[in-house]
Amino acid sequence: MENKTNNYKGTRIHKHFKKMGIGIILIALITGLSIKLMHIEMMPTHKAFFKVFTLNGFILGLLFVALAKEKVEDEMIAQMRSKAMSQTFIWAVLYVILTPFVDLIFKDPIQNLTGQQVVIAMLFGYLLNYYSQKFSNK
Amino acid sequence: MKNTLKVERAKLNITQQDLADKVGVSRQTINSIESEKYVPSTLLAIKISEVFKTTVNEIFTLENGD
Repeated sequence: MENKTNNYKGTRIHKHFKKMGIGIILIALITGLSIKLMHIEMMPTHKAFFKVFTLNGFILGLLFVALAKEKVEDEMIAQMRSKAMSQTFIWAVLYVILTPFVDLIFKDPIQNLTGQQVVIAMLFGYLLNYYSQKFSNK
Repeated sequence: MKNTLKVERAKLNITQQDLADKVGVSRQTINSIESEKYVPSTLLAIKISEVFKTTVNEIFTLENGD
């Protein structure tokens, strides 16, 4: 008989993707930081390419970590994920609304938010919320 | 919702991991149910009651405000 109490798959990927995601995040971070800190002279097109590479690598890594299955993907994990997802949606809306005001105070003029910034904020929010629930339940 | 999971487990002398394996969830889920941080679904509650060969009402009882 199929076990339905630990059969909450949704759009989950294999648990090995969590390690792969962490690896991609580290590579993206090291690449981004080394270009920024070493003041490497580059053409503007190369600089733009590395910026996109770093940000997209970071997003892909976070997505892999967020989607990777747990060892036992049961109903409590499904509930935590769903709670984290709904709270992240609210957090993202507040982030988009409040960031221009923060810019106005600290970085005048207001800077437009990019899609990548919003996606990174959402993935971070989701992961923080999910893991804080998970560890508080241990 | 209150539950007597810990007592029932002690009667059968099984660990949280043993119970988790029998009902197909993680040990953390059983621990959260025992410490009343998580209320299980009907499906899981029935599976747990079957392990202890009793009814769901014998293990899980409503509190005021539930």
